[in-house]
This record gives sequence, structure tokens and C-alpha cells, in this order.
Amino acid sequence: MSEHQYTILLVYSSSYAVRAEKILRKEGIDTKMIPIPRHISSNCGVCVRIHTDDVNDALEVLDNSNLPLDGVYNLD
Amino acid sequence: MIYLDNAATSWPKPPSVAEAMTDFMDHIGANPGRAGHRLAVKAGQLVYLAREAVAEIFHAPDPLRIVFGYNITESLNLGLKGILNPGDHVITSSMEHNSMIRPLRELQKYGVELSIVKCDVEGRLSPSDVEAQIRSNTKLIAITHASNVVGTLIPIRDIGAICRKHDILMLVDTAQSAGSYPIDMQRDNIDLLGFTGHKSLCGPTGTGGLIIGERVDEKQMKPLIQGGTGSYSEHEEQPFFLPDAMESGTLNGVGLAGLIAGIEWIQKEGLDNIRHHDMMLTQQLINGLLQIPKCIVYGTHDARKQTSTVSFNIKGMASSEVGLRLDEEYDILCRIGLHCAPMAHKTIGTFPNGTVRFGISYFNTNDDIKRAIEAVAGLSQEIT
Repeated sequence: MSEHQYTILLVYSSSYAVRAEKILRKEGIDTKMIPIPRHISSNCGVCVRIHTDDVNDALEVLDNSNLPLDGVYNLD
Repeated sequence: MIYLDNAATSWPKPPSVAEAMTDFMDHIGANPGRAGHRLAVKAGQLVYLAREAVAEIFHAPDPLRIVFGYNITESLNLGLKGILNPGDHVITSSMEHNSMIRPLRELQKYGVELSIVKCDVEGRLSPSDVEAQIRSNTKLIAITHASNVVGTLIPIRDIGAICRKHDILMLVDTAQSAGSYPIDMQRDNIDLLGFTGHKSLCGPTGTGGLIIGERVDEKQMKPLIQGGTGSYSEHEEQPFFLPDAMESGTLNGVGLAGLIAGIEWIQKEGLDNIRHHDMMLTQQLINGLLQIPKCIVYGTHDARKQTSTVSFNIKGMASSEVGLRLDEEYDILCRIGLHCAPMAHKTIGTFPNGTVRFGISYFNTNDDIKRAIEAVAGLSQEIT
């Protein structure tokens, strides 16, 4: 899978995005906070972008940390 | 100049506080929690760091259960008005600041029942007196951790245990103790903790908040205000989750940058060292004032049982005159009058004239206290 394939993790708010980022980075998962793409949601906040290769690990780590997700979307 | 008005606002601050605020203005500056550009992200990360710093110093269960506001008055209003509904009963003490008693008096107009437990003349509160007031509809005990007039500490851990026994909530006003006396939300059985940044937490004015413990169902709580949160923007209704449910509008990013620096400074100096320093100087001040004929010192006279706030009067001289002359003739800055706590002054017998109040901080020295005692002695010698 190409390193340029990304997945978007939607969370409740920017506070949750910062928390998700901290949790994921602690586990060595590369993250970036970006504006939520408009085709995914009309929310004006931010989301967490990760490499698609890391999705399974990321979802497991966040689930173990009880961090609620609002959605998971692959970016084309 | 000797600054002894730290019970109102601490000054000076550690130099790192202003540095952090300048750094925020120069290099971050953007709106936390809105937009997604790199500066907005940095601002959002900084706000989260502020939540973590506050959570750590109070041992709060979750940084996201901290609702930031602009001071503790706002936080206590949120705690009281958010929790209490008509028909509920709430218990408070007779040593409260107006930031507690005024919202409670307002709620009384709308059918909230209020009991005020009398403290003794030194400001002490008996937990059994509090327990005796509990009724079937008691929902909340709302209480200060320490008097802002005489510094007397209230046994919140014991009162918190009583709350848990009766399945009611405890809201604590930590304005006078946060940052200078150890507070552990979990060990002290606190359900709602109001704090302000600008006193012993060494932050700037315009910072404060309410920590909502896990025994509180936030979905049953009402926010003080509604508005933009940067989340769930497509909805016209307020988000359901904390902190966004209670925290609307652009946060005080620059202030929170300063608050982080203040809390980091406390952690570096050590809360135990700060408490020890404050106790030594407080006892030195009490002992010195007690030696002065015509000087009446209020409170417990025991630094171990109070914060570093000491109230006194010179017999025959109004507190306003003492305050003015300390400022103009002795270069000592303090606070006089009722200290926004008329009920506390009724309890200690100084209403309506009030007292002169010295509030000591970690930046005060033995020499400051010595000179303050000499100044009061000098003024009292003029009374015939």
C-alpha cells in the first residue's frame, strides 16, 4: 500500500483530536491534525489523519483508551 | 514595596508566566479548537496541555472534564446553577465568599432550598453540624476549602465522605487554597472543584475553571452559556460531551499559556516547600501581631490550620485608614474591608467594619513580614 494513502479518524472535538494524537504517537503511529474534509463532514473542527496502513493498530489503541470515534474514512 | 494582597491576586508571578504568554502572542496566537491550520492546531494543543496541568495538580479524573472559564466566580455559578433545580436542597457554610452565597441566594428565588451551617468565631466548621442539615432532597454541599477572610481551612475530606455516605455531591471553592495547599480531588472526595488561576496557581487573571468529577452526570447538568465550540458545527444544539457541553466561545489561549507556566513553576518548587514557607511566614506574622497591644488578630492563630491569609484590626483605627497609611507611609499593599464576604465577617464578629487582611505568597520574605509587623506596631502606637 502506498505511503500516501491516508485515513481520517473523526472525533468529537479538537480536544479529543489532541488526545487521540497523543495516544497514537505514544504507540509510534504517525499522525497529523487537519481540517475535517468537507465531503466527510460540515463540522468546522479538526480530525486526525493517519496512514491507512496503521488503521487497524490505531483503532485498537484508541479502543483500549476508551476514546470515542465519530467515523473512519479512507481518503482517495 | 511589600505586596501583601496575594489572597486577592498573587504578585509578582514567576518570570516564566509572562514569558509563556509573550511566546503565545508572538508565535501561536491563533484560535484554539477552530480551523485546522498549524497555528490553530498548536493553540489547541496548548489548551490541552493546560487541561493536563490542571488535572495533574488536583489529581482530576480526566483532563476533558475540566471546563475553563475566566475565573472561579464563573465556575461556582456553573457548578451551582448547573446542578441545582427548584425543589433541591443545598448546604453551605457561613464563611463563604459572595461568589458562592450570591448565586445561592439567586437560586433560592427560584425554589432551591438553602441551609447555611454556622462556623465558629475562628471560622471552623464541624462536619457533624453539616451532616445534621442533610434532608431527603439534599443534592449538594457547596463549601469553601479555606476562608478568604481568616484563612481557616475547612475539613473538606470529612465533609466529602459524608456526601458519599448520603449519595450527595460536594462542590468545593478552592480559590484560597489551590496552588498553596495540597488538594487531591479523589482523596478529598470532591465532585465539583472550582479553581481560579490568578491567585496561588500563579497564572494571570482571566483564567479559572470547574472540574467535573465522575460521580456527576454531565448530561443532567445545565451549561451557563451556549455557543460555538468548533465541534458538531452542523448542529444548532449544544454538543453533549465535556468540555464542549459547558465551554462555549473562544478560550483564553494566552492566559492558559501563562497558567501552564504557573503550575509548572509550582511543581518545580514543590507544593510541600511552598506550603512550608507560607506556614513559617504566617506564624511569624500572627505571633508578631499578637505582641502588639491594641491589635486584634482573627482566626485560629495557628498557621497549620489555615492558609497564609491573616486578618486583624487596630482598636480605635478604621481598617480603611490602616490600609491607606500602610500604602502611603510604609509602602505596604494589603486589602481592607469586607473582602466580598459579609457573612464571614458576621461569623467572626467584624461586620460591617471589616478587617485589614495580609495575604502572604511564596515571594514574600521574613524581612517583609518583620517590616509589616513593625508598620502595624507603629500605627497602633498613635492610638491613645
